[in-house]
Amino acid sequence: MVDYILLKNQKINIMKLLKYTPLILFFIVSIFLYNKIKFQKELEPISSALIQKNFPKLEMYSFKNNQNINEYIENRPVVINIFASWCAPCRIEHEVLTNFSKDYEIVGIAYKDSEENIKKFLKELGNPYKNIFYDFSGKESIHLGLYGVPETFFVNKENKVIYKHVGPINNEDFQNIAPMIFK
Amino acid sequence: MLSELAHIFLIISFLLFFLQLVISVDYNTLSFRYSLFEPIKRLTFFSFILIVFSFSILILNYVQSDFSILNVYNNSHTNKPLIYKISGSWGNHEGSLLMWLSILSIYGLVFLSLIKKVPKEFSFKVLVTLAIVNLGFIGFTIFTSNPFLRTFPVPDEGLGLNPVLQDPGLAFHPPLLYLGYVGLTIPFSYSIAALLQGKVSASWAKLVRPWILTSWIFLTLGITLGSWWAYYELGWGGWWFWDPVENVSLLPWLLTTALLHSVRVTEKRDRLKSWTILLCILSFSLTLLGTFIVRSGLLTSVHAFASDPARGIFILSFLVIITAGSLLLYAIKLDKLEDKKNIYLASREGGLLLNNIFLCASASTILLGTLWPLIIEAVSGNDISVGAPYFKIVFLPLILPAVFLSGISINLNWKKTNIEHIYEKFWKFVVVLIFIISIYYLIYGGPLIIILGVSASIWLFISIVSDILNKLNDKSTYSTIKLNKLNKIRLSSYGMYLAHLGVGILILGISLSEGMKTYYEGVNEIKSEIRVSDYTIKFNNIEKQKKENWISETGVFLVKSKDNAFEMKAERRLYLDTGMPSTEAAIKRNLASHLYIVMGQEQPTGSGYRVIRIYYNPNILFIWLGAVIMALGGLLSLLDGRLHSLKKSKN
Repeated sequence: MVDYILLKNQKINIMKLLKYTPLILFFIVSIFLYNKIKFQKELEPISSALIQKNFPKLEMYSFKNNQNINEYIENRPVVINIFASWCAPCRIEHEVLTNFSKDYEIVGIAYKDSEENIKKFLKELGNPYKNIFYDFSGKESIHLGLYGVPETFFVNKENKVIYKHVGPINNEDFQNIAPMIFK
Repeated sequence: MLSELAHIFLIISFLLFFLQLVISVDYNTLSFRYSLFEPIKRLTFFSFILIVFSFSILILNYVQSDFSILNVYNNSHTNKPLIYKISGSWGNHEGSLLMWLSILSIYGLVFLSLIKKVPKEFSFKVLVTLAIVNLGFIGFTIFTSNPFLRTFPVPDEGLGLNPVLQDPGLAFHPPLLYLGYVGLTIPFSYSIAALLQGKVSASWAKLVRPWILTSWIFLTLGITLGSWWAYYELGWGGWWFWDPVENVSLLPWLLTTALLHSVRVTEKRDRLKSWTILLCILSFSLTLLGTFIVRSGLLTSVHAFASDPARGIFILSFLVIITAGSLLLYAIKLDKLEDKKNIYLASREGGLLLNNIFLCASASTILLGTLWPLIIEAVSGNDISVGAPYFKIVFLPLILPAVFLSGISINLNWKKTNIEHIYEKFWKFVVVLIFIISIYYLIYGGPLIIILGVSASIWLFISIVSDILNKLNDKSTYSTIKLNKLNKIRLSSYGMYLAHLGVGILILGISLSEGMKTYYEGVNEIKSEIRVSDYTIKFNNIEKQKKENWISETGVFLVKSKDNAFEMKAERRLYLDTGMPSTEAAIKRNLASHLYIVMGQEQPTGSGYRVIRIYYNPNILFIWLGAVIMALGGLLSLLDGRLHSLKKSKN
């Protein structure tokens, strides 16, 4: 292999130049990785690939009568809330959902949970949901770009996702965002 | 009580490794304290044993269904078969980390048992490196992912294991993959030790090769099992999805494959030393990167666990410290290793070098594709995903030349091969290849990509047969072949042939199944008929069944082909303990081909219509068969080394 190149009559050792390349490349990669973690924490609440797109087709079915979620939300402005009985922030958020359950149709997606635990959960805290769909394996929620529970999707009559909120939502945010689904 | 003990064991081993690091260095002279070799050896031994105990206790907790442990409560259930109770212990984030640690400990114990063969100063440095890696992983476990947390009040029943994971294939997929991943820690430690020594020799390569080979075998088996499981359990009809998590398991495999070839050059010809060292470091770093991506939930994937930024930061810092540290050491010490001896392209080592370049280039393109969404998101703020089409386009043109080259390299000698000799030999190869391919094309036709793939595998088969014939050739008469020479060929050569035969079969399987598969998806009512390939499939009826642990709906399909008729049953199960559904695809095997049926849920409910997906995957079995043969080839090579040293010790 060639060890030297000539530049303006100066011998430059290629190997010497190249030996720091793996280190430099690695640093560039780690900057992107670090950036992603920071990004995920700060900006995730508004960044979603689904905004202004149709709510994806999902293989999720309701407890009540095994109805498909896409079928159910057709032609309805809804607030879709992904929750789980094992999730502590969901308990905090529950009160907010209950406050708005008269004015808006709130639909639940039970994520990685069991029917029995959900029943217990709702018995204890009350049920703000008009309908509950299950994703017990958690596989279908991947199509929603789920980061963790709770997450709330605001979907209009045409089934377009208007907004996605990551983490427990508060009264103020709900009040500000939810009316948009009627527009 | 027992689990508190296990937790304490982990903490003690963390402190012991820390202690070991502190006493290893003499701070006045900034050199290693080799005089402390014996006590440090015992210290390491003790820490490894503690970690293995700790993991055994977690398994015991799972077997006894001790739901006072949060981890057991979340991932197990009393009415699970024993095997899934045990596999539940590593089917979650915390438990899998503890398994990682205990596998590393077992490797460490094996290393300690073989330590007499390794020079003392060298093994001292290996132990130091192992201690650093252990500190990182034990720290990660006890600070962010403690598997022994208690919960109160104690629940009567656990939440159950994800039914998708309740499968023999998946019970053993993580341990096998981890045996491969973790095994790479030893070559990594060996190269750090070699860099610290400032010397890489042929005997170093000889010592490290069995470790690389062991990891490679387990990685191959682990990835194969994962792919097989995804194929029959997930019901997507495919065997590789270019999912980020699959990609990060393929990356170390590609680099380890390259490493296996370059370390051979270092061992036989004392060349490519710095390259081999670099590959050792990079393949280990890629396993850390893989852990980082999977455990932090950075990239969306079927394997995603709930994301936790604290875990992400911890692993990222560890990744940066380990990788940047070793790459810096590499850059500083490189001049000492650099071998100025030339390599002739027309030689075995020349072929292996080219092969290495192609393997590493293909690994780089996959890495780029996997990380590309992160880069785009950082630069423009858009979420994108890189899918299968990209990977197929960039991976194939890089991996196919590597396959053709390996066929050539097998037939070349070390040092230098006479160019005329090569022409004479490969001229015949090309004729045979063109002959077989033309016949194939006349019979089956087909797109270019299949022809290329089939050519590549046939090329490999010809090369292997030719090299065996060459070895059997009687050098004095040049025309007769002596079969009694077969037992003169070394076991490691047979291993090499077998592994490359496996590659050929794998590529044959991929090209034939991808090129000739047919697919149907549609909504069908009962009694309707579907035609796929040569099969007529009648959706006959649905059977409902109730078992202790699940209820199921089974679609019965009557299948007719030209020469026979049979029944197939595709099932949907609902597990009662967790309420999770799972699909069991119906797979009918015909030699190496599969007819594959998946039945969806009724849509809309009550209508009697169902989504039916049918795949006809010809020759698909060759994919996994090829991969297993590759691993077997690796095993033969590994055994050769053991047998050789046994023979030596007898003499």
